[in-house]
Amino acid sequence: MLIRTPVARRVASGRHPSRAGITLLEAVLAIGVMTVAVGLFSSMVVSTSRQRSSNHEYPVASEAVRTLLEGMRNQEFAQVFAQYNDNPQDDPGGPGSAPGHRFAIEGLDPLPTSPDGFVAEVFFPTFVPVGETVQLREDVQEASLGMPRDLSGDSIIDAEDHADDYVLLPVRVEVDWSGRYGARHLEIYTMLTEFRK
Amino acid sequence: MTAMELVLALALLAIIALKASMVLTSANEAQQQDSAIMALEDQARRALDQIAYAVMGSDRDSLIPDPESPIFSTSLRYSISLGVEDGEVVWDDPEEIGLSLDESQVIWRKNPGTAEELRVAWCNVVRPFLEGEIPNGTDDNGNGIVDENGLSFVVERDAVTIRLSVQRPGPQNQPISETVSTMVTVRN
Repeated sequence: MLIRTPVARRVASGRHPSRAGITLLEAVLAIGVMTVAVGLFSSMVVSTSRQRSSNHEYPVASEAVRTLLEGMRNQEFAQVFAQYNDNPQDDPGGPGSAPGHRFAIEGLDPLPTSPDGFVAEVFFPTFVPVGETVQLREDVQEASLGMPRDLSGDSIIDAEDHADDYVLLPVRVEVDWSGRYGARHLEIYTMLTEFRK
Repeated sequence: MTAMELVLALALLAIIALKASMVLTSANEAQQQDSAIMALEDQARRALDQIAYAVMGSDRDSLIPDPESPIFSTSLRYSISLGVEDGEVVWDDPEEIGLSLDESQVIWRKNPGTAEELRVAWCNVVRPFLEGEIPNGTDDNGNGIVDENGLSFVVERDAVTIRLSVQRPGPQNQPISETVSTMVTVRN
């Protein structure tokens, strides 16, 4: 079977009897097709590599949060709120001596909007009355933390500060970082209580 | 087409083919390297989780030895609570997690040192020393402990910090390493 290319057909038809070869247009088209193919392949390789890196970020964040929560469990339970809230004045070891509520995580870059370059933040069910410091409250409306809820074990949900007599402590840790594909977010919730033998 | 045109075309084609082949080869190598690193990290993290969940269910008073930072231990013996019976906590047989004699394996043992001893290797690519650490009497990797092995335990209050470094040959036979660490609080 004889297969004739367009050039061969033109030669055979006698329209371009003097030259048989690749025209400039054909060469440009071939190079263009090849460039597009190489470009697609390169972008696929780069994209796969970035996706792998992005997938690696979530385990790093969740492992760091797990370590942070285990560190909270390792504190005196009655002092956990004071150690990890955003009020440095109530730190058990003196103002500013506690870990505080914001943390860096190795391997994760902070968002440009991060006020202090940290990526993780600890939240409790708190309320700040005008002119006062942060309070641990049972009447906070925050479903994600299971609130409102009795935190002091007296079976009453009131509007008092329970920073000194809580037996349950809901905690939410949020991580916001600048990932390969832009801003990333992770939230983990838990409920702390005292282990008693 | 003249001979000169043919030679030029073949030369151009050869150059393009060579470049494309180089791109493919390097992309393939990079992908193999990435895959090897991820597989090694998965292996390290699986071993670390096994160790962490085992230690988590133990009793703080049952931990042997009881190292405090900057001293570390390469093994940890513990007992797990099976529950409460007649008001008394029932403890399971003692278990131990540590390095093998050649320090390349993480070994879990039940009833260690007895005739009923049961041994399982949880990981067999442990580095001799934690990544970044060399045996020189100083804390090279800045983690607060000196000359620590590829597996180390540090106990502080009720928390056990576990560090694990693993290493194996990569796709191009160069060694690849991964280090993972976690902290768990003993629950019983």
